[in-house]
Amino acid sequence: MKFTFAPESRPLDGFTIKRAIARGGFGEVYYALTDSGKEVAIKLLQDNLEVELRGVSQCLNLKHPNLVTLFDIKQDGEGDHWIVMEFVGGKTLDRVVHENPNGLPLDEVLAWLDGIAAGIGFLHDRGIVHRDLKPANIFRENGIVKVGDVGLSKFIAPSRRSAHTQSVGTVYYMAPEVAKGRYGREVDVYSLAVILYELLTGKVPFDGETTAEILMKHLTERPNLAPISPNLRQVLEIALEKDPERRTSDVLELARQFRAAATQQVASEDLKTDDKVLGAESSPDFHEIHAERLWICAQLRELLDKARELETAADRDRAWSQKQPHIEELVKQAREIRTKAFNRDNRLWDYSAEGTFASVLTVADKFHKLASPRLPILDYADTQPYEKPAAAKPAPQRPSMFPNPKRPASRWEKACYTTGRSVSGLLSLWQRHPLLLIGAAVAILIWTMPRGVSANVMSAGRGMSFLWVVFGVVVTIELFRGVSRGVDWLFLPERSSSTESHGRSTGHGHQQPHQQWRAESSSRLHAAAFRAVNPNTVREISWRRRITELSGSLATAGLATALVTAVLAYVTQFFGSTALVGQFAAGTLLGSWGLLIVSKLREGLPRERYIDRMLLAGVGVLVGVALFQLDGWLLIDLPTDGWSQKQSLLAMTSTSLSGNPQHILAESYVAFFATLFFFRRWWWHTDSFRAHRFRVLSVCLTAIVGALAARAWGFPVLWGTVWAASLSSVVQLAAVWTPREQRR
Amino acid sequence: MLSFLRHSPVVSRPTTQGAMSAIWIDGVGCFWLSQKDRVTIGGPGAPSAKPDDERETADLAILSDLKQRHATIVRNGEGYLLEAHGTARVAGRDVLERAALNDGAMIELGRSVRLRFRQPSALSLSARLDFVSDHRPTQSVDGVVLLADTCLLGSGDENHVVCHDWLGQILLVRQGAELWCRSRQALTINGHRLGSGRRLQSGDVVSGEDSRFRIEIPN
Repeated sequence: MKFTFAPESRPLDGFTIKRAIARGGFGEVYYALTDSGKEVAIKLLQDNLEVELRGVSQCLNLKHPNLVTLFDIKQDGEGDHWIVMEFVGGKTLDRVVHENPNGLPLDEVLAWLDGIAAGIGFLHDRGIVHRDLKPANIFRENGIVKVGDVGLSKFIAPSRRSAHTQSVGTVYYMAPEVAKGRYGREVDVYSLAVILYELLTGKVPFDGETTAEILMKHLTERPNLAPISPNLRQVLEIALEKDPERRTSDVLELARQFRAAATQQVASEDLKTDDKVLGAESSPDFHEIHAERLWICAQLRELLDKARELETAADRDRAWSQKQPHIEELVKQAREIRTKAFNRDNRLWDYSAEGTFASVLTVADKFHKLASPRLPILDYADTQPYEKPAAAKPAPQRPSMFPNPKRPASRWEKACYTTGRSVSGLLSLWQRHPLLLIGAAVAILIWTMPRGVSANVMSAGRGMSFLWVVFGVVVTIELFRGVSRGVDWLFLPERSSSTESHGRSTGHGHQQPHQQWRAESSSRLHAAAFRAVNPNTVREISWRRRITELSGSLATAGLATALVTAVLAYVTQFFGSTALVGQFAAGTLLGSWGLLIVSKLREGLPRERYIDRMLLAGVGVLVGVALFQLDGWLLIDLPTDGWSQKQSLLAMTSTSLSGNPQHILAESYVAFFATLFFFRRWWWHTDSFRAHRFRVLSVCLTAIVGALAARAWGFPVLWGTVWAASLSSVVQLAAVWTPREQRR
Repeated sequence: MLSFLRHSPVVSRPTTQGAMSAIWIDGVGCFWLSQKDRVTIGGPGAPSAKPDDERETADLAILSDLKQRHATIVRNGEGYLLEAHGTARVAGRDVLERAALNDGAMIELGRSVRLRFRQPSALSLSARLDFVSDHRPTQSVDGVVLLADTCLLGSGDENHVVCHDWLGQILLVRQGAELWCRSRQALTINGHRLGSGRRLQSGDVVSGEDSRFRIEIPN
């Protein structure tokens, strides 16, 4: 929506426009403050018809709580007229209807109706017809309904309607006789009836594509009253009569009829629910039973009152045992009443009788407890026969690793078993790390408490999340070990014997040459030999194996990324907002995947160092572009200092720095990742023949390269460093590693 | 608070209190933004003798029978707490010292003031206070945004400032003490095109295709 006047403009002396409120059929409405701070709504009259001004002037001194008060009419320097009126906050009825597309509850409808009817009734009493009653004109602030645009309605005959001032919104509520230029107060009755229809159902009775279509429907079509409940149907039917003569004559009369019908409806609904509970309203003795029920309740209540009196007296005199017979007597009476009621008709005993009865019993219980002397507490401990612990049973024989020891297990079986055992081993983790489990239990406890039972518990909970991290690391390592062992089984060559532990088999004549080598390697190898088998070793790796290992690594990288991000998010205050967490995780994941994919596809091939580096740098470019896109999509800003950006290579070589020093350029993203990926030998992180599964030194070195790259390209240094370090960690954790003695 | 009693009635009278910024949005309303980690809520208090005495009144001074400082909303790294200095209830429970505020919690202060605490966006720590009872500061305000990192303006319920008829979304991002404006749609600030984002200064008018608002930032 475009408005003529800008905020803070002062078309009228003494009034400062703060914002536009809406555009109505008669002009733009603004919220303005007077110089002393009074808030008002001011409305610009678009064309100054004399007749309009007269209409408003008529209403200028009308006072009613349900009408928006007019303060003044003023003329600005250009001769335009402004109406100064009361500012009403709160929702318009229009908005309320919008929020309740299936109609409002009946009591809400009645609340609105009363206010509207009172306001319009007052206007009619003063001889004024509103003529433009519609939900957009009706407000409710502080529970008071107010009708606006009083005296403003033009003579809205369609023939005189101009496209600019006539909004379609008005036509929905326009009485048919308006087309003939007739404006009695029945016009307002009709509009109010349309509004009531809309409030009840959420839809206007006559809708259409064009103004003409809607007008035609108003003139000819009968409203569909099927969605309206039967009691109200008749009221609305008369109020929506096409002929003003036959229509309900007055808004107050409409409101009265509507309210009467509505209460009748509510009453009949109540009766219906009652009927459901009893299931016997139609039976002739219904009223008799009802009376009987009341009588029973009254009797019980009397008994309860007596019991309470006794209780107070006993409490005062400490005479619980003396008064006990009295209360027993009361309970007896109550029981008699109940038995009688059930004998006559079980419908006589209802919920409230049961409740009162239970209360009497509760009081009696109290007497019983306090009157009887306290019984000595029996100590059963001595009477328990002492049972000697059974002699330690011999530990059950561990079942053989595989069900049929005669048949050598297949690799799949071994792989599944090893993986499965490590997973089940997790369940017995507490045996190995009891403290960890206790800590975890406490952490879970605190975690699941409603957030912030008190601030202290909350901060304790944050401390505990550290335990979670430790727990997570252990679990991940265990899982990883299990899975990698399982994977090992898959890729180790089939063995002739069914030996369970790998790495100890002896070579056999029928093994292939490289298996022979592997068998030899099971004994200790020279350091020189280790060195000879490094990521640069050329070897043959099948595509199938590459892809299998790669997919495993990619999945693990996901886990590791989540872990690293969680550590950063919970243990440190590294991230300022949730969006930054997402950006960080996405960067780490994409980067590590890129690195893992390139390295795995190049693994074992003759090492062309610069080809590898260029490939990695290319991946870095892609990652940078992706992250820049994500940055834009999440609309985030990495926390940075303007200084490092101004001093960066980019700033020196290009003039494309935007006016916003906080915003990381696409160039920065791309250059940072390309540099980081180019200057590290990532295959030493990812190759299955790397020296160590996880090398902290590599992480540190990468972090330094990250810091330098970030510094050079105007990327946030802290983020660069942390991103590099986490990439290195994730990649090392995720990549497959072959123990030295198994390398071949 | 009651600043018009102290200032001569001139045009550039501040419309907000203390350190609150205000955004006036066409067709939507007026929202206040607070960047402080601790926001005090209280009654209007007596007009102070000293013209610039901001210590006495609360950050959010509501015309009500509350104590001068009735409660404080505190933002820590994880969420929001309400510290009660007078009678207060959060989500129907009496608050003795402090209580955590979760999205949708009803804050009842004193006898009749009711505010609803909303944290509409999962992507942002920022929160919003809605006025439920009819108590307001001296002028009508539609909500108070407790700005942690970002403030989202748009048509959906996930926005801090819900602007029903808007097509696009506008972000106010906090950069230290500064406020930046960003959006995916083409915006102009005071008639100049907004690039990837710009710092907002007091009095800036931000306009989009179907939206316009003005911001007032206290110095």
